[in-house]
Amino acid sequence: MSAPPLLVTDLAKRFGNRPVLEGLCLEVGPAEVVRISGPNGAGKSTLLTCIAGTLIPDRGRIAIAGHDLEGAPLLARAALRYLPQTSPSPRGVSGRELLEFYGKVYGASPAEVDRVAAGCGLEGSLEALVTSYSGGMKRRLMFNALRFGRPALVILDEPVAGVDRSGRRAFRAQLDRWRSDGAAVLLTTHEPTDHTFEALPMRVVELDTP
Amino acid sequence: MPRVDVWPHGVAIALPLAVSWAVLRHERASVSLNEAQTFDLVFGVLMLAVGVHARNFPFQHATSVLQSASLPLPRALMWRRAVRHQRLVLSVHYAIGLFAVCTWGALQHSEILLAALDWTCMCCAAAVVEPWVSGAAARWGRRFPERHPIAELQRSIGGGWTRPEAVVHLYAGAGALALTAAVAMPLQLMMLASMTRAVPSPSWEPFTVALAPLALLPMMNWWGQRWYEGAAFESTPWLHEATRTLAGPPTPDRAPAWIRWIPDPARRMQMRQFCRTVSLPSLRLLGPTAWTAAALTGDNLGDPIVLAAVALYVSAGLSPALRVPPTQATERLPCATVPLSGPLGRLTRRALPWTWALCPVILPLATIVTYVLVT
Repeated sequence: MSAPPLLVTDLAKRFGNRPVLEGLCLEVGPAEVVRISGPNGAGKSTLLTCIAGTLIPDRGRIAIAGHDLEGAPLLARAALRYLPQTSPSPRGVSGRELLEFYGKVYGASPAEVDRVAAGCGLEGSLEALVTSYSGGMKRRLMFNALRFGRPALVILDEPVAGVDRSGRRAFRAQLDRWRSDGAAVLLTTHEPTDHTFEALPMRVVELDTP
Repeated sequence: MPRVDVWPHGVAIALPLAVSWAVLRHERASVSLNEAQTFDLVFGVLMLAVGVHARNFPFQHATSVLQSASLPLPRALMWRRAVRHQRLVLSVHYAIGLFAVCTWGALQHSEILLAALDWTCMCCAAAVVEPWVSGAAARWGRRFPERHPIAELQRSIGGGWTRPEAVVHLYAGAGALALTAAVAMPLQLMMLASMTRAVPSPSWEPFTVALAPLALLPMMNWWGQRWYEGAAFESTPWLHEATRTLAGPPTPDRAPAWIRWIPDPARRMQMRQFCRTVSLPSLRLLGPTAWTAAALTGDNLGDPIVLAAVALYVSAGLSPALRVPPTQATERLPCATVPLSGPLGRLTRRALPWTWALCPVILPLATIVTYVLVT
């Protein structure tokens, strides 16, 4: 039996004396979509950043596609695509160059980079600096940067925040593609009733303030 | 990878320091070679100190390093990129220092050569030592099992000023400087001995000695890289978490009331930010500014009254600069800032804003007092 895309065991994280996550266990199966829900400050982004490896939990283990995040960091990260809540906008880099960078990181061919660039909905702005993009454009660009390769787990933190209607349609199409490829999707959104998520079989994991 | 832009930060302080170095060294042209070399050692270390953060920023501190923590990028790539950056910025600092050394018009050529070789030694040692220390900081800047000796050490030497996992970074910069000086000093002393034996004609021997640390480079580079590769995925998030919390507790201290009297809202905001964030950056500024004050004193530096004035000046700047909000303030003493030297929890918040706010007033005032006392 193959390993689940995500297995979180007994995860705990506290900031100062404030516990944010306490003994959290979570398993996400192939092609499953899980929405992490909860009020502001409940630890949704903390959970996602812990799984993405940009925050180290105080306790617990995280395995992505069977690879322990601590023991096999490169293999675990190769199976992961992570869209953070704040899109990075490096200075002096154009949209196309950033796509090429992500393509290189995820082992995509130049043809695949061209294909993603052509279908990302930013064709007219790809040669412009990322710093000149609007919030929604940055979101779209970063989302498209995750399309390379075949991930086992996709983490999306507020993926459609600031994205227009056509961008949301493209997002939903890609979400369906990932699911049909067997990738698990873990996301947070404050707009669960948005048409983007219509008829999407989604398990909801509720986080409460510990 | 997106570039790391720290140039202004790295050069802005090094340039005035180099000018102070050149001016002061020029005025002490008549001292013995030994004294001159001691003087140069102090300035060399200061010059390396003001740029240590700028040089070693991309190993773990840069935001782009954290952003790449979720990507399957081998840490060896990040290491090579950081080492390239470190050497590039170091070469800029080397050139600035060399400018300071070579503008001592009153000195003999052999003395200038000795000073230049001294500085070359320091920079060669820094090129070797700093990346290695960054590798060590990655290795020891993460969480160890509860009863592990390093975990005990992290707790005991941190004093609550940062997360135990990031404690090593409080010491890494100073450690790198100390080790650099320790590596360079024997070579410098050998050069001094060789120069005093044959002053009139400089030989190539000192050059060979000065470049000797480069022989260590491959081994230390390999060693540091192994440490970095094995630990950076884990230690970088800890460092960034500690940096975020070092900016102060979630609820900041109340700004002093007089800030409300500033009519311009932008300036009011700036002053408020200055009062809350000035502590650590101003520490870096202290070196060059103290030496600038010393430059004002000219040849009277040895006078007790001048030394007292300089001490007053430095302490006036240092006391507010050392007031750093402890990271665990949310745990121990909400909304409070505690002096670095004092036990946590002793002072209340009332003492804080005025001291910080007075920092920009005290520094110029002390400079004027120093100047008046001297002249």
